[in-house]
Amino acid sequence: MVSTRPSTTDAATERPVPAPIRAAVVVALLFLFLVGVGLLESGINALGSDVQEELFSSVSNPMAGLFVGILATVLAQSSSVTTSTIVGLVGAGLLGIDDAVPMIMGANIGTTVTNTLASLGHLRRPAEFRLAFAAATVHDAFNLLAVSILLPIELLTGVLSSAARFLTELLLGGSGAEFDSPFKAAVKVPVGWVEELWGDVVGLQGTLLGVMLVVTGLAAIFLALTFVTRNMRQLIAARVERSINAMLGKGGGAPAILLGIIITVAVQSSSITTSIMIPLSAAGVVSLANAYPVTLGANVGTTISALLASLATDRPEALTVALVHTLFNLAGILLFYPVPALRRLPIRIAEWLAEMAARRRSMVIGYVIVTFLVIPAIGVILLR
Amino acid sequence: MVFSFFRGGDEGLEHVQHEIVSMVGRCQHSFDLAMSCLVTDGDIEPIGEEVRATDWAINGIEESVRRELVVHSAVHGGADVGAVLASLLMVKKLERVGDQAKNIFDLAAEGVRFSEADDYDRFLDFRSRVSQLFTDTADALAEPDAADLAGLDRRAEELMGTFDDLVNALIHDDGPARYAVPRAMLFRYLKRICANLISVATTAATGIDRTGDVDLDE
Repeated sequence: MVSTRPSTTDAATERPVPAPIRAAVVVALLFLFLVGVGLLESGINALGSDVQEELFSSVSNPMAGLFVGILATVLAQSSSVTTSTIVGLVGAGLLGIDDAVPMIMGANIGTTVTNTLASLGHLRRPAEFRLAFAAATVHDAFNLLAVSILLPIELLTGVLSSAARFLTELLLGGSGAEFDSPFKAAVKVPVGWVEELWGDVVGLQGTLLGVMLVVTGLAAIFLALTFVTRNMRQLIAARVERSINAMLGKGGGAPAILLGIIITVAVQSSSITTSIMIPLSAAGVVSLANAYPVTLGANVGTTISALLASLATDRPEALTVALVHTLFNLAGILLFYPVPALRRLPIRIAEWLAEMAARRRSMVIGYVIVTFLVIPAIGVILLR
Repeated sequence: MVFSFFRGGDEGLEHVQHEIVSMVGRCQHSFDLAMSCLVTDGDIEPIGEEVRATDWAINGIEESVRRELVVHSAVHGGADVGAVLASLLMVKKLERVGDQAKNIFDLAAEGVRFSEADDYDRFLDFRSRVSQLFTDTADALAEPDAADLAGLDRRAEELMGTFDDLVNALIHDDGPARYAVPRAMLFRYLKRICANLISVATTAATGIDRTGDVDLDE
């Protein structure tokens, strides 16, 4: 039957990569990702204390940290890149847990821009666009509400970081200043090669060497995550399709949250999971109430990147920050999902925004620019 | 739904293919039942319930296949757009076949019977030949073969020509309306069923670029 066979032209131009090879490539890319985090840590250490102080003094203000997190994620179009970088900075001892937590929360807000941009593809068809925009902005609404409640609580009580410290001690079996990560040992060798390349072969030293190591590390993190996502998307596309079809027959709820977690952990990108929901919502195949829990699951699933990044460092604080990311998203779900009245709050906000956007579609671009670029940029400038 | 992520099973378009073949089977079931009502003297009410339930099920499959195709496009992007459009076309055609089988039953429900008619054998023959087209279409979907498709196409065209001739003859018939009208309507439905089935088989074999009512070369 025609439907299951690619056309001759397709087959000629795009030969499918066997699954075991793709899986091996993903493992190699994950190693590259850890090497990237290691290079970042090494580069930061090579920068020297003056430059370090100059670079990161601005984020000691929690609101500035939050806005930096938003801006960095919007620009990188990936919260995984941002949170892994933050974990790397904590691993290098440059950022404290208290400074990193608002940045992590900012990354959570920043990542929602991707599916909001995806919803713009339906801009010309108002009925579809209203549904697509609501499905996209329910993620914005949830993250903004969660941050507006949990950030002040964290700043006042430190409840999330305390819980994360407790879990770190539980996982690492002690409260020492350093722990021996087996991954760190494996990563040290290639990190050493890159250090030799920039230092001994090219002849860089001091701050310049540090900058090049940071740039190489960031490039490795970005490339690794991009290609992990691309390969995993191909590897598990059939499973994603099958499980979404099963969800359509059974509705949302906790299983949909779990599904969002599983898909996102597998593809290492919450944007992929949430962006799949956009055309489904626009076509009326998935209701907003059922897309919402998948989005919440994606928020939790994306924290796997920071947890993985923490494996490449020796400092327990890096794992603590990664765990804060997970706990923050779990706490957000506990706040806004079990109680029906609170569960409807992000949905109502998203529906209201979508109604406004469908009526005045020109304001959509303004919403994206102001929420994700102008406000964070002004915040960073004023609060640094 | 969470476990379905880890379980094996049909991949997207394979499952759609199975659903389309199952739709052909249900359409055939509905058609056979509806035609048998026209050539029987018995109580058709229980059969009517079965015809309506089958039509309901056909419509349900069409909706679920459409949803699955939207999900497939959302997950895989535009790589399979030709196959997705072809599948959409096939389920739409089969949904119409289901409706046409129900329309045939509606004739019986209105009291039309050919059990005592002079041309009774002709109706049995048409029932058998059109029913065979369903079987051949299902085979063509499962195991596409150019020679089989050509044979199917030839038989369908032959039947459609016969139905056209019969309808044209009835238009000029001087007999009573109660003789001509039910026959004309039935032959019209049968012709549309044949046309839809051959369209489904052709779409399955060659994709949407070779099907459709408009020939761009003309």
